[in-house]
Amino acid sequence: MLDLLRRWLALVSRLVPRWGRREFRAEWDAELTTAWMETPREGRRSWRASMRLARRAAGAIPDAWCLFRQQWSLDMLLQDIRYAFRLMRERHALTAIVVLTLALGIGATTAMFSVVDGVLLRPLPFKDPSRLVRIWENDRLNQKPRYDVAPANFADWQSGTRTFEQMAAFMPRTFDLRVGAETVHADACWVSTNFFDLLGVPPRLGRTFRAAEAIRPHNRVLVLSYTAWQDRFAADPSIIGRSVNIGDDSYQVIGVMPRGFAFPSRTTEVWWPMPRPDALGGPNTDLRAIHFLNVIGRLRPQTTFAQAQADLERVAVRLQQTYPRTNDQRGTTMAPLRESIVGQVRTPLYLLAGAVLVVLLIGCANVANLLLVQAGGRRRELAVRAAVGADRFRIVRQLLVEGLVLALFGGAAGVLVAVWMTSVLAKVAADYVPRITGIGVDGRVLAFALITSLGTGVLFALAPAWTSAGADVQAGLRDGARTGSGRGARRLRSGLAVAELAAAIVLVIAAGLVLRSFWQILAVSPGFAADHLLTADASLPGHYETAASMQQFYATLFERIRAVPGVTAVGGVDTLPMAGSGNTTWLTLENRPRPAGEPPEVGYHAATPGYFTAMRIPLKRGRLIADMDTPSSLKVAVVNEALAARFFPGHSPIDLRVRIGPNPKAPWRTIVGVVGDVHEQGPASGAAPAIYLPEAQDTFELSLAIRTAGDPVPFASTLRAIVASIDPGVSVYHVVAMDDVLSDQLAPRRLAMMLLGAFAAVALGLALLGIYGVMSHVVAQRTREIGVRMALGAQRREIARMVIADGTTLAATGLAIGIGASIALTRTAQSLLFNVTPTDPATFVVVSAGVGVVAVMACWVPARRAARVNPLDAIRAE
Amino acid sequence: MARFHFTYPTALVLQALADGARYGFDIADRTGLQTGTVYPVLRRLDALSFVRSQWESERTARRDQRPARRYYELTAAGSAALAAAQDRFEGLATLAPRPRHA
Repeated sequence: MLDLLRRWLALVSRLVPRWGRREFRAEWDAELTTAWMETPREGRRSWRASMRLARRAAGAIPDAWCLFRQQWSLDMLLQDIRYAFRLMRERHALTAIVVLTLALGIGATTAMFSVVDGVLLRPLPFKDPSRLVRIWENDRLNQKPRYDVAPANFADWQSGTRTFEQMAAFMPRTFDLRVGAETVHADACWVSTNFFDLLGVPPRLGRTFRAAEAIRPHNRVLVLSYTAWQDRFAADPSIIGRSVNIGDDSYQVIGVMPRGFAFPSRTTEVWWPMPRPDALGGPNTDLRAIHFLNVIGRLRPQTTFAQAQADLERVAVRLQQTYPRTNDQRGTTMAPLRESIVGQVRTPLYLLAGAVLVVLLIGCANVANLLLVQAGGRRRELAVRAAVGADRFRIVRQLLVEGLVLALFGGAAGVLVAVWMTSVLAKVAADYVPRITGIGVDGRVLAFALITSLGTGVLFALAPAWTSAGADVQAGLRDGARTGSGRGARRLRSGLAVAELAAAIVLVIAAGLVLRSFWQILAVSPGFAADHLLTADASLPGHYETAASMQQFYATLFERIRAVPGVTAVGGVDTLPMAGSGNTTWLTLENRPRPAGEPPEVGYHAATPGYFTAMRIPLKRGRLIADMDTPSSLKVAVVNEALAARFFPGHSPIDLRVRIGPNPKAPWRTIVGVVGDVHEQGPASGAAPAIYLPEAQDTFELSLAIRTAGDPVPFASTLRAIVASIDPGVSVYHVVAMDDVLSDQLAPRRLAMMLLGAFAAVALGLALLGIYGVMSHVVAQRTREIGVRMALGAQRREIARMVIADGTTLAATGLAIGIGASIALTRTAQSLLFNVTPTDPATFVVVSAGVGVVAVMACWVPARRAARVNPLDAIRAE
Repeated sequence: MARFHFTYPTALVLQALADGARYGFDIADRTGLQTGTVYPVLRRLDALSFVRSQWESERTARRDQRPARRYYELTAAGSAALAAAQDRFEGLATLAPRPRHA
């Protein structure tokens, strides 16, 4: 029995920290032995006494547990923390580098988290946002799954579905607000009267719309955004009931929305009520043939997304059967509202967040490497501590505490970096990333920073802790005089440097692919010459009711602009390239069927004779729109090359006739010319078939394109003066150089590219520093060996070559792993690429070669140091 | 003295030591507490310097033909703590269970 008890003690004592283990066993051994000696061996009492002894022996477990826990006591932790602080003070240079690296890593990661959280993760600021959806028509004939909705279809969806609590329509517009003598042009939105009710957001002041306000004359009311109320009306507390002039009309302010309400856009300043769907459009408008509504819906509670989708599609199928002429092949597309707002930026944001995380990990590896060097120097200290009874656990804990203290310092500095970065990002990306203006460092973000700091602390402290814990005490004491580290630590450091380089290469290759895509886009000609081109919009007030009066205005305007010295050409078009989705129409060919599979929808423009010259859109065949095309002359049209190639493959379309729109009574138009393709949606999107009509034969409000001999921007003020001299009621807005429009178009890509490029540069820098560090350390450790080699006749060049060969092996391993990982990973960046495959060989080769050369260069300094070793000094040193 | 909250077992252990108990199993006998309670209490009291311990001399142990025991005794701070505990748990001195013998 005593033997059993002793074995039991040996087992339990493993829980006890090493410094107390012997005493623990001695004490319990004495007590149990004595108690056993006093236990009767025979008779009735012996069984009970043995049980009692066993019960007492069981008490060793709580005791051991208590001793085990004591090493986590606050006192001892405080002691460790104090020690960590002392070390930090002593090694202030190392501490500064570590804290700085971590601050940047944790700061950038935290900033990206606040972006991802604020933009992608947080629910929309509406009531029950998970039940909100966005609905489009699905135009299968033209392969456009997210098509604007026709008013009559919207009305039928509303009345025919059962799974929706309500549906609302809206249409972003612009307006001219008259404040005193000044006219400002701003964004607004036309909304059905239940719009705010559906979103479930109450106004800050006043009220929102009532159903009756969809009908004249009650519709002269509007709701202001918080920003508009602040900026345009100086936060006037008695704004409710005030009259406001929009264009020539007077509206009454009935409400102000709360701060942060930004739907459909953050620039929307005014909402006003839309007529009921059946009242949209003129007396002869086919309300199923014009598509301009945006639709949102709120699902009934307990309704699934799929049920609502099926319900909606059922109504759409019924409409297809009832109205085949307009609704043929028209289904519906539905998406959660949040998805429709942020779906576009999801992949780029996650990608950037991933890139930042890689940078942080590389930073951790670097810090771990630094601490490993320093742990090598401390090997003797640790060995001494182990020899005097500090157990392995104690030492590991000490190193972990050091790591955590460093990480928390880094994290605290990182929060400052994050605050700065989020504010910069929110400003820079405001126009391209929805919801980003609302981001900031809040409780969630701080919690993230804390967790990241603790995680990184454990991560980089683990490496030195691991190798130190494994260190052999005797070996440590014996060769501790050298500041060497064991072979295990050296291998770990090389491994870390290789991993860093591999991760950095993935980022550099990704950045390289995105950069190449950007060059590819820049190389694409948009189909017109963007330089020396000023563009502007002019909005005509309500008294320009007839086409004749509008044409009269434009004729005068163009004549006066052309008279200004320095203007070489001027033209007008309904929608300029990259100024919105533009108009489309249906094309019917005379005496010939539409080519099989060719969607009937084409881009549609009304242009003045000067437009093509001003834009430098080249004429390919026939003639351009000219002054001889008047309202009473032959109805003509000009088409682009894409349209000619797809609708008239193999022969010239000149003199052939087409009909525009679904109305079978519309006149035939003769094609008189073919012009070059224009990338209407920016260079990254292709050129769609398009048709141009003379503005004289189909009148629209026009955007202006003015070509100047010199810098176009100074001409803006002249333009405003000319317009004001013709009619002060016409407001001129969006006056920008086309170069800037083109540049703005690429801005989101440029931003993503620059961020990714910056992350890649930092990652590569850190990785090279890692390789340099490892090689320097290896040289320092091998000084004696190098001395011996030299003494035996090795040439300096051979020594340098040996060091460089070692470094090259590290770099080559990192490169190989990095390239392999890149091949697997870069396809996630597909959406950021343009005309470049994710495994573009050119990028891979250039990046690998470049990084390889730089990595070898990073070994150059340590190699030279090795070559300069004085053999006598080296051998004598020990 | 630092403010300290005693559990009843802690007070019992202090009282037992004051009454002359010197080693772990003896304390367990006198208080009727399990060894699994007594030892953690002793460790805590030790960490607080309320008790100190020393090993029995080898000679004494050899004479009794058993391994050397670890003996505990109250420090001055421990005695003060006991006084405070007696204030808190009235009648502690008299209520302590009588020693049981194995």
